[in-house]
Amino acid sequence: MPNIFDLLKEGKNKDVWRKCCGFIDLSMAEFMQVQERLLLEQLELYAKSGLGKKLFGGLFPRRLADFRRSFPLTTYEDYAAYLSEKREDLLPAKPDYWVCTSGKLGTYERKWAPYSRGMVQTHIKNFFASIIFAVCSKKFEFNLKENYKFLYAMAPPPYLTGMVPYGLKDEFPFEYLPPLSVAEKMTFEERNKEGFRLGLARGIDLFFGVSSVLVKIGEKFSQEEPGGSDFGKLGALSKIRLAWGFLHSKIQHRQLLPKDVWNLKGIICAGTDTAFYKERIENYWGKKPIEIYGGTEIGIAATQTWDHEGLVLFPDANFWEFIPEEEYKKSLANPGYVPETVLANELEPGKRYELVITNFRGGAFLRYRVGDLIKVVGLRNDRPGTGLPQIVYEDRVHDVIDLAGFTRITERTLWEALKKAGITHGNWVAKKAFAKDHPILELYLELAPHENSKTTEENIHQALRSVDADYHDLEELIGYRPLRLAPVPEGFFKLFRQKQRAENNLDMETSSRINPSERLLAELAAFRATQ
Amino acid sequence: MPTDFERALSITIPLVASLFYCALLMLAWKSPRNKIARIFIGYLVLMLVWSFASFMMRTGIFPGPLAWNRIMVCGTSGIPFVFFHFTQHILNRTRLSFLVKIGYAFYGFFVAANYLGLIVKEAYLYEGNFTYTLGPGAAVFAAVGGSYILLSALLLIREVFRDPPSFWSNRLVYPSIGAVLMLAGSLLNLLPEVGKYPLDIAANTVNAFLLAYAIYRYRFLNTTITIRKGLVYSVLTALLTSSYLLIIFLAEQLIRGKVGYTTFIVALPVAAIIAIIFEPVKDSLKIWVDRVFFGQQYDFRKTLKEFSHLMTSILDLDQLANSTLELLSKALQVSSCTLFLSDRDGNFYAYATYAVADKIKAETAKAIRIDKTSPIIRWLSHQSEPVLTTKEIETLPEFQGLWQSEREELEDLKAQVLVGIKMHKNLIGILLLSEKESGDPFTDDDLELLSTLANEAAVAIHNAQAYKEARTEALRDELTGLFNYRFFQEFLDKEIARCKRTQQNFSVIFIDLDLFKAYNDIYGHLAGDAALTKVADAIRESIRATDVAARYGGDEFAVILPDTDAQKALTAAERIRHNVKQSFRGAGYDSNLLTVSLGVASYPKHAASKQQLLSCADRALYQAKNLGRNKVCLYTSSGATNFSPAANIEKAAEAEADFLKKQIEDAYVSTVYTLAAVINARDNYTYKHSEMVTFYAVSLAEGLKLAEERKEMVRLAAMLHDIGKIGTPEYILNKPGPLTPAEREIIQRHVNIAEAIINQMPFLRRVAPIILHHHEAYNGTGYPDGLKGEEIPLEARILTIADAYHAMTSDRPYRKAMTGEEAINQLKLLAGKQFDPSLVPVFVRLLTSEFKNATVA
Repeated sequence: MPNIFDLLKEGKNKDVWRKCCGFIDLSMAEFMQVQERLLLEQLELYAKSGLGKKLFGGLFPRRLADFRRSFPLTTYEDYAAYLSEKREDLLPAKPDYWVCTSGKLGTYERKWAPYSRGMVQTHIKNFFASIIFAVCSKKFEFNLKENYKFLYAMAPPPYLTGMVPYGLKDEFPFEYLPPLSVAEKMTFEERNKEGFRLGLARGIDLFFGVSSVLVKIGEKFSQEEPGGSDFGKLGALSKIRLAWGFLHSKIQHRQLLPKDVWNLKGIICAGTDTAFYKERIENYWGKKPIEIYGGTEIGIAATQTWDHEGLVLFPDANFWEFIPEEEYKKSLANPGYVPETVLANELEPGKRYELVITNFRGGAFLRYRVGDLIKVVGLRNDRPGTGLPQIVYEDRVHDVIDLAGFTRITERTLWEALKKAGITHGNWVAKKAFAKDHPILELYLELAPHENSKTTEENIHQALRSVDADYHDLEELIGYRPLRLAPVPEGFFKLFRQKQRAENNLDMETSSRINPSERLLAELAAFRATQ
Repeated sequence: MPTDFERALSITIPLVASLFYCALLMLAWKSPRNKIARIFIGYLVLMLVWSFASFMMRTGIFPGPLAWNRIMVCGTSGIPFVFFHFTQHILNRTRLSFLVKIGYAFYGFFVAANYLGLIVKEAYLYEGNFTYTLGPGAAVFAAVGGSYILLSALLLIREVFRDPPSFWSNRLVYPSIGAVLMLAGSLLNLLPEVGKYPLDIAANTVNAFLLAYAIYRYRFLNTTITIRKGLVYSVLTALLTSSYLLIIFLAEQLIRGKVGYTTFIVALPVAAIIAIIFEPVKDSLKIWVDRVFFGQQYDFRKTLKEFSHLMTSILDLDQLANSTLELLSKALQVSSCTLFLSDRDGNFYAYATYAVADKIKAETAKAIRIDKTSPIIRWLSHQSEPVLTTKEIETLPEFQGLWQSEREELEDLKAQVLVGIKMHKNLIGILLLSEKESGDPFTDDDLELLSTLANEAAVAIHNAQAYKEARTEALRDELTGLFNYRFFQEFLDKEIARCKRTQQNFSVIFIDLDLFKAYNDIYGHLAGDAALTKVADAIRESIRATDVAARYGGDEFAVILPDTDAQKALTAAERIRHNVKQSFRGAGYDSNLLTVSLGVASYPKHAASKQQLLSCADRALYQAKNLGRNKVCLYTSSGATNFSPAANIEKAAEAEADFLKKQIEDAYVSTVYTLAAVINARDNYTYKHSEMVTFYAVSLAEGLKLAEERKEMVRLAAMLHDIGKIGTPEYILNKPGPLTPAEREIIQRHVNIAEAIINQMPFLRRVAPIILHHHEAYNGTGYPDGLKGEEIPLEARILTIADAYHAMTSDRPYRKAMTGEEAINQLKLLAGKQFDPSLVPVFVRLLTSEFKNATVA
């Protein structure tokens, strides 16, 4: 079977679309048929494997109901002994790659997940779907050319994002900025810098990375003269590109923006702040980003389509189960409680769920609690014409701040409130604290010297009241203000990040803003003590 | 001054080219409009403008040669740039995209320059000769246009010779040749002697043909492009007709030039001669077109006709399947073709395969089973036109649920097309076709043929299946549903013949129930039949769909395992042994009696003929029996046997402590039953006697409305009441005359022996007093303890009556049987003496059905 590049060269764009993006046209019943069929394959593989025998006594239920009844929900602890030692002999399928989480998360130094050839092929195909959605404007209408310049500003192997370009090589010849072999030896910041430097000379067609980077570059452009003080050091091609962009911006009677310099065909971003930044990215770069959702244990799990709204889960990535909010609350309160799960065709709009997955194609994880919270924003989306549930990634389950049982503040809630309060930078973290025996939300926020912390706190508080009805009720009913602003000076977080990078620790890049690492909290506490 | 021939040629070339471009344009117009298609259409339009305007220009038709020339140059000057664009798109290049834009700018410039007279100053016909004067722009156009064509040719050639070869390397051979031709045609214009003929148009026409062929052959546009044979033939006919008319015209001109005049009389035979010469040319061209566009030729209608004949003339499913597959394979030149049929569960298995000189592929196909949950089955079931290509399997999201192993199986078979065979909207079969031997893709005509054949085949296959089922029913054993002895023998003959032919092997397993006779004797024929059915079920579950299981005799079964060597057959036999044992465990059956012994023999390893093979399997079976039953033995020429190790493992497992007690009890009871059966077997009277005594005693107990538990004790006691006779010599039991006191004493001891045996079994101890005292007399004159009246257990008193009644009504060696009436009278006479007086009337009334509600006082 020819790969995606061959198909495109033959002009078979529709075939490529159907292969990668066609899943959005599946009915819910067809989606579930794919799910159940692949689950059966996985169970058969699993039953024969050493892991299957060790963990589940070689059980092989042939019915979905039996599977959900007979297998318990698992966590990484169940697999840690085998996966941290990379026991390939025990796995349901031989892995082509081992990927791991970045930095310290939870109890483990790193969580490892094996990826079989079948899994890699599936997840690469799914990532390609995101690329197509990023460059298309409507169904079947997309164009991808050989050696498109791809600024791939994500972590290298053994992280999941590092596996993707190696898998993509078999499907399509992109030109990576900087080249993969070079990028692997660079830090996150170096990679981004070098990527944009090369992009200035050669152009950028595609971007995959953190959306805040794009915003930051956009801000830099809007604040500085083209090329800044380094203009003289730039090569001829870079200068021409910048000059052309400058001319373009002058014709438009506005300051220079990245969209004048680069003509990006597609932007793919990961992370919750993508939704927060998407208008600004469009303003700076002339293109809205596509948000994708994935992770070490779940691979490339869901993607936005070309309408940049809800994400759609891939039917062949994992078997999806969902623990309804009330169930996972019970399980948080009582670790012994076994929560019920629902399936993709039982989701209800407006509700939050904790994700439970079973890998397909010989993966290691069965009924695995990923620890991610998703919210269902709709059961269909007529703009791209899909009848599949639309989700947004909310947060980590453990990264939720529960205030007196009234409300559960997530990172997304805080982003929305801060935006409403007129704060657009991401230099903040929040944790749960107590004031006069009441649980409160303690927000560490960078403030400029001229900004009044009292006024800012009031603005954020009002914004929270407005975006979160439960927060509103908390003050009304219990009678206390559940927010405390702890101002930190501008540049505090940047300084901390730099320190972290110097220690080659990616904590700050990977961990949530809610309940951040002990290290950062200690730093904040030390700073506050000096005030 | 040009000759007539030269003039005719210079008109003919653009005319033929125009017709050709029209036809190509029609084809391209019908194909889906992707980018490549759009550029190709643009290219064809320009070529059509060029060739048609050239034709009109040379005829001098209004508005005159110059005006047509201006139009012609509009086509000519765009060709290099559109071709370059086309090349760029095929190669999917972006690096030189600016040259495409610049090229189109040049095109605009040249069109404008031409209308200003900068390229062609003037053009006119002078004495039938086309003459033109070039302007200064012509050289610029030649340089720029030539460069673009040269660049296109170089890029294409580079891709063709790329190392390592890319997916496109061999696909770009034809466009490369076309580009070189186009360049050569353009360069020829620089030679005035040659340039006066429209050779550039001829070269471009050949280029267009090569492009069209490459587009079709390698599906550049889209695989759904439809080039029907009819359409291709229409184009061919149009071209031939034009050529025919042109030749007549040339001939007419030639005659006119030589003779000075022509008449209709002269022209007609000339036309007829040309037509006669043309006919074989037409046929050759048709064959050539077939070969170019459709690969190996097959005749659609002929294939259909042959197929229809097959469908109506064959009723045997094997023959039908094999003939159909062979016909299809040959017609479509595929390397293999497999027919899958549905089994009872809705899964599909390979029923027959036809492979062209590729034994491995046939074997691979045979092992494939398509699960009923497979998306392939679902898709084929729901489509009204169930034709599925592997390309669709790779791209349609519905097939994301296909298992990796299923994908690999399709790859192993080099599957290209799957066609559903449907009857009343139900999927009954699937035709799987592998790739063509030539490597060509399947055409729309192929797929249409397959769809039509599948429709026709549905009824025939359905009928053949029904016929086969009906025939199979006649060859089945009524009780067990397995095949009967006759079918087994027939199949064995076929299998031996097949294996002789193919040099393959197969095995036979003989299966015999170990203590079935005893089981039958003890539990009766109905229970025996039920046990046989259960054994048959267990055998069926233990073997493959391709194996044949038969009921060979009363309690003997046999299995033929095609393509199975001795060791694999031994494993299968062990599976049968295990499953039979398991099927009786805990299902209310006497699992200790219901075990099987199995003998395995393999062809040609152990035997060279059918009789030898059966004999070997039989010997292995008896070896298994001799070794203690519930065993599997494999025949060996030395007479030694191999045992399956699994039997030992199972025994070890069974010895687990939890089961031990129960096992011992079961074993003991079974042993007792077996002993009873052995006695019964020695003495037919005793067997019938026990059975009838049980019947009478249980009936009396029911008549007395005894509790269930006590009734069960009566039943057990009645069944085992003579078990003690195991210690009685046979001559005494069957002595025709009266017994001596010593003999009497021996025979009377049977109740004590029975008690001793029964007492060994704690769970049967309650029955022991009943058996011990069933020869006591009501008045105390009986044995062994001389109990009397109510001292004798009620159950024993019941048994006494039942035993005596049946003894009296049976023929014995020493006397004739009494009639029922005589026996009743005897009972009445001895009531209160030998028999309980309160029970005798109840029993008598029960016998004569006079009362229903007797009670015990």
